[in-house]
Formats: sequence, structure tokens, C-alpha cells
Amino acid sequence: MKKTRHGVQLGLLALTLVGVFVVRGNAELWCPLGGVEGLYGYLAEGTMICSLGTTNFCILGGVLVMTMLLRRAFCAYMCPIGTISEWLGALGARLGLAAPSVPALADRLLGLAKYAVLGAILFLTWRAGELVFRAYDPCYALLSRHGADITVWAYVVCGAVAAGSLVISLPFCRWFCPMAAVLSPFSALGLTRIKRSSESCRDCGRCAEVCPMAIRVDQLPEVTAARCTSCMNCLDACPHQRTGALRWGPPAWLGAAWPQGVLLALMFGCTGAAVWGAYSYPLPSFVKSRGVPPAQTATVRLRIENLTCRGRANLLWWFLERDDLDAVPGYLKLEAWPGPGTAQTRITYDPTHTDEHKIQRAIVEPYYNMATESWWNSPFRVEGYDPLHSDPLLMAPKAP
Amino acid sequence: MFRCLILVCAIGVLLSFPASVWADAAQEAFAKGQALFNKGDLDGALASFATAARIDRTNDKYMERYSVVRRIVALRQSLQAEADAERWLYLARALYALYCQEGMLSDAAALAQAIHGKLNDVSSAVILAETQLALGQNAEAAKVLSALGEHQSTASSRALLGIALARQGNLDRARKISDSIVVAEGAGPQTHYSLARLYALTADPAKALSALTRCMESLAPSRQESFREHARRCPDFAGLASTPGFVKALATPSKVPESACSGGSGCAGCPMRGKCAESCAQQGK
Repeated sequence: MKKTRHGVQLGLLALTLVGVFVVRGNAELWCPLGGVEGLYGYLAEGTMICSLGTTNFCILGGVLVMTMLLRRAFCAYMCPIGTISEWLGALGARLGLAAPSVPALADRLLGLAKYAVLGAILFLTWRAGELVFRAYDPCYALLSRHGADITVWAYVVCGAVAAGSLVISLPFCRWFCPMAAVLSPFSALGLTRIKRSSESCRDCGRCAEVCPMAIRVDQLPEVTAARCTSCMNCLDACPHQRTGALRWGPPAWLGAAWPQGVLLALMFGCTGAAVWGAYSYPLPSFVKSRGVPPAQTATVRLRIENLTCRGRANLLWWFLERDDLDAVPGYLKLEAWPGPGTAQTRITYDPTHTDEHKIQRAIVEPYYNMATESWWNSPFRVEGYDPLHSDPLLMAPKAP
Repeated sequence: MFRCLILVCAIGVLLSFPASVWADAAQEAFAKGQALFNKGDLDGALASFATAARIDRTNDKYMERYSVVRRIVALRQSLQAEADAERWLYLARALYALYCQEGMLSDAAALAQAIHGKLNDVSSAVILAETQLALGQNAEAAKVLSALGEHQSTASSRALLGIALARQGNLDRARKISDSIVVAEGAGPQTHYSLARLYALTADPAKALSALTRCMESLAPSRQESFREHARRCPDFAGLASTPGFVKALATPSKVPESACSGGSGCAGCPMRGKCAESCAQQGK
């Protein structure tokens, strides 16, 4: 079971590294914590924080469903920080660096720190509208491309996590990880659990010794602790597993004991469904509207160049809301999917006040800014837009 | 083999012939548009630029000219029909900026006169006087600026008045004005620039170069080049233009931070942030 899990960890870590450093994808788009951080801004203003997308909501949904089924299996199988911390812990044990176990009370109190970390992150992120935590995020330090956006603090935290992992089992995952704080309430409701048979168990205590989350498996009939990651190290270590001393599975009415394959199937099922949902039903990451929608609206889908980020989407909205000769009167709603290259937009308008051509003109025409006494050129280009098409100035009859 | 070669040549000729014809037609329409524009026939120029742009879509210059002239025509039409004073002023300022950009100084002066007629304040007087000075109408500029009361005048308006007087040969009065000007802390680049011109005309090169340096320092990097270009061509700097001090003053780096930001709410999360920081650093050098 351990080998299978390590294989999954290795494969997913390799996939992530290839995605970031070879394909040069944006790993943040697939971070479930990003879904939590972006939720407030999206609901309140219709905009996602820069670097995030609505894919974050999909992956967060997938991970939460997974957690309700498998507890914090995400931490033990998928999270890159969990994987690296675990490997460092194994290295520390080999080097004889392992510290004595943390007293239960201290462990419990330290476990509350992750809720404080999550609270601080959400408060600061929601207030600033930016990914404030990134500056200290050990995961970002590992999985970014180490550009100008990385701060020294991210490396410091990363180093501290690495150093701590050498002597203590998963200190960041147990005590400080904000994602663990998000998952814990859902994990407490987890369908599957480790069960100990008091008849078969010989109370050797091996299960508790190998538990990376310091759960006293040997003293419990069932592990219902939210911090259980379903890593199944306890099952692997149990010398009496053949007699059914420890089992993993759902409640008795669903079969009581499941093989690890079911866990993997459910885990990849949830993740696959999240990825499929993100690609099949992409939500716009920028939504703004003006006015009350009339009884009849029209919609135009435009592909726009240079609509790369939320800032640019704000600028696009600014051009659409212009008040000069190229103003777009009436109701207006912009839904955008900013990104590199040509980005997709959907613009809903009142056809009794304006038309598709005027909207395109509003996007590309320069705007005179009174404050700076200068013309501001639009950075946007609309794919397929022809300014010469139906220009009223060209078609108007000239005075004799 | 020989037949194949002839066939290829024939196809090549057939393909290239229409292309060159199209290019020539577009060029012809563009030249006609430019001639009409120079004559002041903007409607005719607009139609010709549109024709050129329609024929040759690959030449951005045609579309750019069409776009600029279209904006001027549209603004002129709107300006005539606009009844709201505030909106009229916005359109007039926008059109004035376009006239200046396109070198249509007579149109710009007429429009500046109309703006001054409506506003009759120091800012409209400065705009009008600037345009008149650019056209060499120094006496008219001096008249406009002299009409401002003492309480109304600013460092900028007084500097322009000094320039107008100096250009008319009234150097003593111009010097008196230049000596009396007190530049407020945080004065804009335009004020420093006007002062530099005045000091240059009143034969005070040290002060002129110092004012020019302050002007370049207080300009955003993206605006520096247009000021440099103007300064090199400005007749007021004729006596200074060839000196190393003038070249050095024009090369003064900006002290105004500016980035290529797209207008987002912050930089921390912007995927373009690396490039932004880079461009800021380069511009700040």
C-alpha cells in the first residue's frame, strides 16, 4: 500500500513539475486553496484574483468531495508539500535526526494554529484583493518559476518547513497548513475510516508509532480524527493485518472494508470530474455589469487580443464604459476569460440602444483623458473587427 | 523542364501583377488622401484613406490615418451639435489635442480661441497663448496673457508672456518677468519648460538648462521623448541647442515612476508583474 501511495505521490509531483517547468503552465490555477481565496471576490465583485481562475473552484469542489469520502487523502497522495515533507521525514529518520514525539496537549494546541493561519490569509486576501499569502507560501516557492514575484520570505518558510520535516513528522501539514484547516471540517464527516478490531489487535502499538499525524490508532476502535490522511501506514505496519486487526473502509452497510484501489479510484474520480468540469463548463473569471437588464438583450462573443489579466479586464471594462463619442449606451454586461493570446469574452447589451459594431468600436478606439490631456490608445484588438465596415461617417451623404 | 519553368513564371506573373496593381492603387488613394488632408478637405481625405485601407489591408499606415482623420471629423461634427457646456469642453479639448498632434496649428488656434471665449480663465489663456506662440503670433499671445489680472496669472502664464515679449524684442520686460517668477514646489513639467524657454531667450543659459533639467525630471518617461523632440526644434532654444549642456539636460532621466501597468488594482498578483518591475527599473534609470 505504501509503495502504491509513494508511486502516486511521485507521479503527481512529476506531473506538476513538468506542467510548471516544461509546459510552463500556471500551477496556481489548479490550487484548491486558490478556490477558497478567490471565492469572496468572485461572489462579491464577479472578479477572480489575478493568477487564479474558476478552475480553482472546480478543483476545490473535487477535493472537498474527495475529503468527505476519503478524509484528508489529498494531503497524503496529492499535495506536493505533503509529499516532500514525508520524504524529508524519512530522510531525517535515516539520519537519526528524529526528535522525541510532541506531547499530546502541545500537538493539539499547535493544531489550532492552522485555523489562525487560514483566518489571517482569508482576511488579508479578501481585503487586498490579491494573493497576499503567496509572499510566504512554501508551495509557491517550490512550484513557481522563481521569478521576480518570489520573495525571500517564501524561501525562508520553505526552508523552515523542510528543516522541521527532517526532525518532526509533517509539522506544516499538522499544524500550519491553511488547506488542512479548510479540509478538516469536511474530513470530520469522512465516510471512510480506519477500524481496529479489539479481538484481533494484540496492542503492539506499531500503528500509532508509524502514524504521521500522531493519531493513537492503537487506542481507538475507529479513527474519526479529522487529521487522518488515509495514508494507511498503520495498516502496512500492523503485524496482524491478515487477521483483520486493522481495516480501512466505509460503514458496515457499504461493505466495511475496501481495498486501496477503491481509494485511488475515488480520488482520481473526484479529481478527473473537477478537471472535466473546469474544461467543459468554464465560468468567466471576470464579470461586470452596468444597469438593469431590459426585457430583450443581445449577446456578442468576441475574441480579444491583449486581454491577459484581471487588470486588463478592468481596462476593457473601462473602455466599454467610456463616455465619449464611442460610448455604449444602455445595459451592458461583460463576461471575460482573460488569458494569454486571444481571450474569450461574452458581452450582453441592449439592442435597442447599441449594436455589435459600436461595442467593437468602443473597445478599440482611443479615448481622450482630460486629466492627463492625452489620448489613450486601446491595447485591445478584436478578432475579425473591421473599422471600415458600416462606418456612418463614410456612408453619410456629403453636403453640397 | 523548360515548359515547367515557363508555366511557373507565367503563374508568378499572373499572381504578382494584380498585387502590384492593388498596392499602387492603395498608394495612389493614400497620396490623394494626404493631399486633401493638407488642403483641409477632411471628408475627402477620410474617403481616400478608407479606400487605401480597403485596398491594402496589410499596410497599417493607411488604417492609422483613416482612424485619426475619422476621429477629427467625428469630433468636429459632435462639437457643432453639442449643447452641454461641460461636454462641449471635453470634446473641444480632445479635438485640440488631435489638432496639435497632427500639426494643424491654425485649426488648433481657432479652437483654443473658442475655448478661451467660453472659459476665459488662466488655463484657457495659456492654451491659446501656447498655440499662438507656436504659430509665431507673439503679439496676439502677449495680448491674451496681458489681459489676465495679476491675481489670475500663474508662473506658467507669466513665463509665456515673457517669451512673447522677448520674441518681440522687449527683452528688458521679459527679464523683469523672468526675475519675478517664483516656481512653486511641485510645479508641472510644462511650467519648467516654459521657464527654460524664457531663460534661453533672455540669455540666461545656466537657469535655462537648470529649468530644462527639472522639466525632464518631472516628466513621466513615456512623455519625455515628445518634449525632447519639441525642444530640439523650438526656436527659443536656438542659442543653446548646440551646447553639450543642452544635450545633457535633455538626457536627464525621469524621476517619475511609471510602469506598463494595465490598470489593475494592484501588482502583487499580476501575471505580468515580472515584466512590469523590469520596465519600471529600466525607465527609472
